[in-house]
Amino acid sequence: MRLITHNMLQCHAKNCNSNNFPLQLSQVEIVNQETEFNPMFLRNMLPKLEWNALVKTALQINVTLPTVLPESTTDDLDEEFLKTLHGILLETHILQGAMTCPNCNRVYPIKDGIPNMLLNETEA
Amino acid sequence: MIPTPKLDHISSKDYENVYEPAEDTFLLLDALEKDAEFLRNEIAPCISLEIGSGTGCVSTFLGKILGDGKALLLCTDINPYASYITIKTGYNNSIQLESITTDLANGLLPRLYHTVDILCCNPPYVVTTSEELYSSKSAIERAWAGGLNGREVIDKMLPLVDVKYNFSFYSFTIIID
Repeated sequence: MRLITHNMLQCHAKNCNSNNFPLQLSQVEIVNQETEFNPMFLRNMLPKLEWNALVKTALQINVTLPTVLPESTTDDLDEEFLKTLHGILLETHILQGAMTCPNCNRVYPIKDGIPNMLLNETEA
Repeated sequence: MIPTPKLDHISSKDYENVYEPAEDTFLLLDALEKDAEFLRNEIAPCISLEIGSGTGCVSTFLGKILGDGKALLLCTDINPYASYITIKTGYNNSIQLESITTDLANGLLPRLYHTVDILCCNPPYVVTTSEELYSSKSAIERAWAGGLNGREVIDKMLPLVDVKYNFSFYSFTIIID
């Protein structure tokens, strides 16, 4: 699971409807895998990201991002910034670990790079 | 002509646990291929979501149409084994897929409300009893068991994509009468 996907996941346990995002990472095993830089994709993706959640999550793996998305229009966002974003979102793979809901503390495991969001019958 | 994804990494043993691409899968691939140019140039999706990815064949094919890295290809499956094979199929075809083990789009909604550009699904549609669908212990059965009228899974899914969450999407779904 790359961090871009983590930015899409939220707790869906029964009655857990607020403060259920982003899921807090812990005990993660991370590997960085280079992939082709695609500034166009990143520019298109920016409005679909939850920026505050990404900043928070990046800090959990010791990467500091600007707390406010740079003000410039998406067309002239500087390349250096996009490259940082590329590294964080698309090259950072979480192989193993856990994600905890900040609201209800439900833990979702990540195994072999795959998050498991299944709930059991009593939780759903 | 876009070649069918290579599936030689999947053994017959694997197919005891994950749906083997069949005629319905290939129909879906044909539909995608027919609209390849439209998908690439008009929709130019940023996020694709496939529900019930199975082997990952469909999203891999979509990735081939769009080009690796052009879109985030999210793949869900309720079967952890399928999630695992999905990633491998992407890898074997040089397409980066993102697997999530979950039922339908649980855990992605409402976060992805108005955010998914394409939804792909080849849903289970074989007529079974409700009980067969929900009490099934075998993962492979969940890949084809459609419940009453073969519509139970489809009916659970349609409101997700069409009304409740109002995705902007182009759906390629095969439905039999």
